[in-house]
Amino acid sequence: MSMNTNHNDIKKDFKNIFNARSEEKEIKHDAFILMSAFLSEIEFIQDQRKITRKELAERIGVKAPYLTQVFRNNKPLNFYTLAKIKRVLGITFNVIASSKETKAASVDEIRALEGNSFYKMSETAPIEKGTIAKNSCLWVASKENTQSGPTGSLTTVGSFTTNNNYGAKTVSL
Amino acid sequence: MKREFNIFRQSEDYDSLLKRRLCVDTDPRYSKEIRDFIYSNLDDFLIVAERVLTFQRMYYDKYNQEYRHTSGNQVSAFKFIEIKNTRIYCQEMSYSDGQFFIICARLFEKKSQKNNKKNLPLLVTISKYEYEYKP
Repeated sequence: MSMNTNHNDIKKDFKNIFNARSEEKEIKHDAFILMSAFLSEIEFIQDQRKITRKELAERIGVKAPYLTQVFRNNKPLNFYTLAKIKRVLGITFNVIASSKETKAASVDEIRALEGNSFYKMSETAPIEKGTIAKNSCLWVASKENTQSGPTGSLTTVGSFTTNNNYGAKTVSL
Repeated sequence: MKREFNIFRQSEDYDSLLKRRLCVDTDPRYSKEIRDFIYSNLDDFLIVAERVLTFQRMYYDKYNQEYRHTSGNQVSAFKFIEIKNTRIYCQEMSYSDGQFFIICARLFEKKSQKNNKKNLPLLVTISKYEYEYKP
């Protein structure tokens, strides 16, 4: 990469930051993002329950600096540690897999959309297909993911088309 | 005079439904050193960038809020603790249509744990930056 000083070149350099890297690096990156998905949920629970990292480390029998390294993505999170955390916090993880083409709206994304108004399901109302207007969203949050719709559980209801400011997008729920 | 910025990555690039934008202040005095630092620590930066742009809870050890000005402007930081405790200070800015901009403004090597007379003036300066967004 050339370190040009021209403004347009700097702009281009920033865009190029995200150019494809070696497959090995991409896989390592993806691994840390996957770990982060679990770690982010754990931190959320910790915040809610006011459990410090040191306390969590003590409860699962590891050193606090080790856990800090894990939370900073400096060390990989192994599933054995994850299982211990799951056990001491008394939580479960719900995993959803989907193909890239019909990417399921992640729990994170659904949460992020909450409260933006538009369409809200009641606790008992069936889930319906619909078009989501610009700058609005479908409210589908379910604490236990147990609400049922026309075709079954929340995660298999169907797709909704969003017309947002970056084009239409189908969200599978 | 209002400052300008360039968007170089956004949530949609990851097929996320969020509307966050990672940007850089166009002032070449600072954007060059931010660019050079990112390229030198690319793997770390890319992980933090994806987390910030796609996770609902974007604040964590490596990206967090640092300072809030009385005007309401918020300054955040990408934290590279193992790399001379370097920070990329950013101003966070919301736009009326729901877009959320994280504008990388300055690079800083933090010498102490807490904010002090060395970096606080910089945080205040960044918090006072007025950015112009041209849709």
